[in-house]
Amino acid sequence: MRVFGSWFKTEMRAAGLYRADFLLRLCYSLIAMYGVCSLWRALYRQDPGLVGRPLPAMVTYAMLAVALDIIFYPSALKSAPQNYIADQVRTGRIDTDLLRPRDLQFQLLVRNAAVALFSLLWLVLPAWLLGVFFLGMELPAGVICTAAFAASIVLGFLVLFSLNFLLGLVCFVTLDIRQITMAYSGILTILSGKLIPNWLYPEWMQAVIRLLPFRCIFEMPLNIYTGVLESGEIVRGLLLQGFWALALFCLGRLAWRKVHKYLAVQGG
Amino acid sequence: MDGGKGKGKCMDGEKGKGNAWMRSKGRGKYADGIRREGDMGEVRFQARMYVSLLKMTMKGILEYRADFWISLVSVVLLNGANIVQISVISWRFHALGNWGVGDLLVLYGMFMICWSIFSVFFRKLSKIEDEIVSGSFDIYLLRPVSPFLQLVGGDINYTGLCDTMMGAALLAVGLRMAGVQWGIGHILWFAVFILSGGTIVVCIRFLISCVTFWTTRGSALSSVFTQIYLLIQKYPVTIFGRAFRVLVTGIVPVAYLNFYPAVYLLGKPDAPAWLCMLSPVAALALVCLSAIVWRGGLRHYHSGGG
Repeated sequence: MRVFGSWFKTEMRAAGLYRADFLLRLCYSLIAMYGVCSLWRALYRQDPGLVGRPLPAMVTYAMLAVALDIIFYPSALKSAPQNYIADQVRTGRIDTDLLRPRDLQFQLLVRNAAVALFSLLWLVLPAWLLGVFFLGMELPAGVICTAAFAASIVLGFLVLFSLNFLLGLVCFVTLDIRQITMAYSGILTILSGKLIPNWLYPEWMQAVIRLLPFRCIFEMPLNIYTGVLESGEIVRGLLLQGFWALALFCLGRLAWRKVHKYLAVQGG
Repeated sequence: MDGGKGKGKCMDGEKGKGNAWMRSKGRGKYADGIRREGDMGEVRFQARMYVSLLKMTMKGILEYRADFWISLVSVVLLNGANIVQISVISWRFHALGNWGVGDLLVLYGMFMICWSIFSVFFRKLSKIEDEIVSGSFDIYLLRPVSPFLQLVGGDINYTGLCDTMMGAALLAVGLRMAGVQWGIGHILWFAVFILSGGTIVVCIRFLISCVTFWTTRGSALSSVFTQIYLLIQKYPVTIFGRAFRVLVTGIVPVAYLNFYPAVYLLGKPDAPAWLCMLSPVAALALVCLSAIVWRGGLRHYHSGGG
């Protein structure tokens, strides 16, 4: 446990090194927030009934999605598992990861959590504050909503991490995952409710999305924040996120064991 | 057999370079070390050097043909999510303001075509930062060819053609859906818009890179611009507030990449025609500004490398 603690601290410190980049990253997100804000206002002016939500809730949803994208974009974090594994496999340094006494999956999880927490505090939170003060974002619907939202973000992060980790393991088979990563990012953007809220999709597509884990990343936390879910739905949503987080984590574990064995046979 | 062929090619390239080099020496242009700009012979010489630099680069990259197909897949995947977003919004809301799905595709395609002018011929400009910071920029100043030509001639990125192709495809589909008939005037203006738009992209990227002359550190400014570009590419400027519209029209004229051309070519009421026709003026202004900044930057430059 102490080892994980020091990993956590090291990553936090490394993440804080480049201050100027942070400011520009914040600008980047604010421009994007302004963009979605304008888009939904324009669409709402056109036909309020079709948006499916009152305007403030919709604008909040869209802008918070942009802010959360800072930590939830698949390869946003430098030490995102798929980037890290791809690097290690390409350079052949993956054997040093195998020599370490701690498991690779846990190690990556701790390091990613540290960077994500850092970005959450220094980028997402300022972006959210600026959004609330200047762009008409709403506050969360209540104390319970806030707590559930926090839990939902953590679970969403776990789901994303496990998906990324599985993607990283593909690298052991294909050796290069750049194209696959692009396809994956595209799918995640479309199906996670980040760019387009899922309720705007045609029925058949919504049915497909309900079967997939991607909506646990953006749609669930955002729906909880904007207060459109009743308490029963919130609990069900959190349980679903928990289920996917656990299932994907175990799947990652299984796959990693398999890869590990395969590597042991290959290694010299 | 194969190796011998490669070697022959390589020597060819070397010889071509040597010839041009010696010819320039033979004419004694630089005997006194002073550049004579404005001289027609000088311009011809620089142009020939650019072409021979391009030829050498082309030979180098033609060895990796698979790159092209991989890039094509990447371009489609990268833009796929945006296209889906545009389609879903247009399907749900029928239009974005008075812009239907065809119009939005024209907007998107125009942007990609203009952008591809940068990504095919001038991508190297985004490397100025690295070259200045690492000090390898010095090399350009020692050679008798204009540093700018050396910089852009050192790279031609034919994978950028994937952007052109996808942009053209989207434009074609969009025009068909919008059902606009073009006359000869439209075609001429289309060419003017693409050239001006390409110039604007190149100049803006160039100016961002030139900031490095003064700050001597890689400017991450370009990522902020990426976000502005993304908004311009996907949405008509009319959905934004007045301040943003003024910004992208008058200050950083990126709306001339796709918005004003689309307004003119599709006959939209979003902007008066004269404002759209200012496109070459905006491009020319940026070229002048770039030239001034570049000269100032070169004068200010002191090598960062050891």
